[in-house]
Amino acid sequence: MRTEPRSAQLDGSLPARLLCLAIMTGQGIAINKFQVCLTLLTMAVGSFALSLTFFLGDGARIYLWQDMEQLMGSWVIASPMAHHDAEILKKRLNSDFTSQDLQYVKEQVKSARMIEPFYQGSASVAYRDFNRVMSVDGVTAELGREPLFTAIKGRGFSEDGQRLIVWECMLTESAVKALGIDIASNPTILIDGRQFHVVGVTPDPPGADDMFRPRITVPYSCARALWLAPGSLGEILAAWKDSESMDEVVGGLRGALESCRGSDSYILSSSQFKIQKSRSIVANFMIYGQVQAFFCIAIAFVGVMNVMLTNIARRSHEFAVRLSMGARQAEILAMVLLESSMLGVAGALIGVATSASLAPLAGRLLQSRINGVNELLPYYSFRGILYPVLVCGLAGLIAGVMPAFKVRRMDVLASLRNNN
Amino acid sequence: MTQGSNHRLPLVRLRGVCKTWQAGNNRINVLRDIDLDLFLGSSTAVVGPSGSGKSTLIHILALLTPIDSGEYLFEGSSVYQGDQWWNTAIRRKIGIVYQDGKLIPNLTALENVCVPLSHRGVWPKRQKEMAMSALDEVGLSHRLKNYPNQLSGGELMRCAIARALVTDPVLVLADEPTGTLDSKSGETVTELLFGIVQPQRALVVVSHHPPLAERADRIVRIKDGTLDAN
Repeated sequence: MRTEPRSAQLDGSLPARLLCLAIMTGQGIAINKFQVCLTLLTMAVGSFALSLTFFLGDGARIYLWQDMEQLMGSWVIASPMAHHDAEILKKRLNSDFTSQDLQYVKEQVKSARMIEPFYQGSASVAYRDFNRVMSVDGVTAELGREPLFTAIKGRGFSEDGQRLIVWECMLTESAVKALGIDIASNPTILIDGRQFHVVGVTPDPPGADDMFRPRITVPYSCARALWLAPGSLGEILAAWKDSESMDEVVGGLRGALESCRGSDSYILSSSQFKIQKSRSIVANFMIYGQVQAFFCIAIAFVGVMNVMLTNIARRSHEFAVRLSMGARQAEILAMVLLESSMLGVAGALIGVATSASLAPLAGRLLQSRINGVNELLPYYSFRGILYPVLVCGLAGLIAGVMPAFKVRRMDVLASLRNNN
Repeated sequence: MTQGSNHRLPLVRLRGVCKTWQAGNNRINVLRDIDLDLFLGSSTAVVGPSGSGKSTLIHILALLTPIDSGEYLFEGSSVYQGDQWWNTAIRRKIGIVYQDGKLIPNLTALENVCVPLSHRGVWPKRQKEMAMSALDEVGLSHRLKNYPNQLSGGELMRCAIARALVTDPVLVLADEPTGTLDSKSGETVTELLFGIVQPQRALVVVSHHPPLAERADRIVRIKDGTLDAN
């Protein structure tokens, strides 16, 4: 009858065995530092791409979509087709909506909660040729070839709702000198009978000649509102309470505008469309990121397998010695598999850490592609950490299977004779 | 031929052990009909010409290679029954000292001595204490953090002896322990090896070195795969 050998006196507990296994695995990884570093780098890139897609995707889902839906509500904006035309000023009399258009639309579209004239500024920066005479603080000034800068605050209601527009402007340095005003005192100036808050000073346009220097620079949004012909409306905003009414409102608006303006004279932009477009951009980003991550992890998988095959070839003598010193074959196999898994997990953690630190920057880069989004913040979700670690760890584990089988088939005596 | 006392139960008993190697299309009978008893508290030297099967005998005793036929009893229990787990459990009661030490090159002397303890799941702190004690016993307490390539031949062997003894094995097998050493280092290693023989431990030394073999309680000669003893 078999009896337990006396060596059992030294056999440790399971936690001690696991700790020993981890230490021995770490000693093995340290052998082939350069190749290990390269593999870790590749795995980290894959993990980085994967976790970044989760961090930003979850950020968009949690912060952005909720905010967008709350901010945007349910609305559709009808804009004259020539709205973004560089020659807008020449065409405006024909293209802008009129009060009569607005009244007609109000009568036709009963399902909307609100139909109001609306104006939103453009973010474009451009020089435009036009002739316009404005009275600034009682001084008549010509604003020909005026440089127009990015809108500061350009959203509000035009015409009847002009009081809701925050009229702001920036002045060129030369204009400040010409008008002799103190910017620090938060001054206001009158432009064409409207009061503007002077919110800052902008340098004179580069390369400007003397013609520009005494000029006043206003935000494009304000300028656009100012240029509207008398009786013209910028855009028409229709809003409703529930999303089910959308088709009805949009259909009614489209029908009314076609009746009074004709087809192809306007474009519609709805809140849902903007949200869907933004979602589509983020979804595409996530798909692209995950595909990229897949390829990186696939390359890293080959790298881990290569490292492990090289490692076990170099360490066959060590494994044979360990076996002769009382190691079980299962322990050696576990060492190999744990080593390859640790390569995967370590690479994943490096990638996740890098991703977490660079996610805000990536969010800013991505937000520039999404209209109407002020800030795309990353959300550090648990799955953004867990998935890359699981995927990379699993890739590492699978990459270690073949090397582990090679170790299992190892000839102990032949390996002991091999001193390399 | 059976050797040893019949009054005590042998630690190891080999009966009719045969071992062959395949060399191309030929089978070479390395060991034939080996009968051998090893007793606790005794030292045995195995001598013989090159290729006579000395190292193979050591490998069989260490359970590193299976026997083709015959019986191997360790502490009265039969081994080589195809049970790896059981064989490893027995192997853990055996300490092996190889000719060139066979230390793991990327581990320090201390870590090398810890290897057998690591595979037994001894807590790292306890491993370190036991390994330091073993290295101290062989006079290497000042070489704990040196790697094998920073040790002399004698130090390598002493480190290997410390590794073999750290688990307090009942059987120590030494394969040509002084084969690559100068006479002074060889003498030190010989002293160490024969100093470890205790009532609860047996020593088997394979050697070409007559002074070392003569220190053993008995000498077993192998010639052409068969055993002869005095």
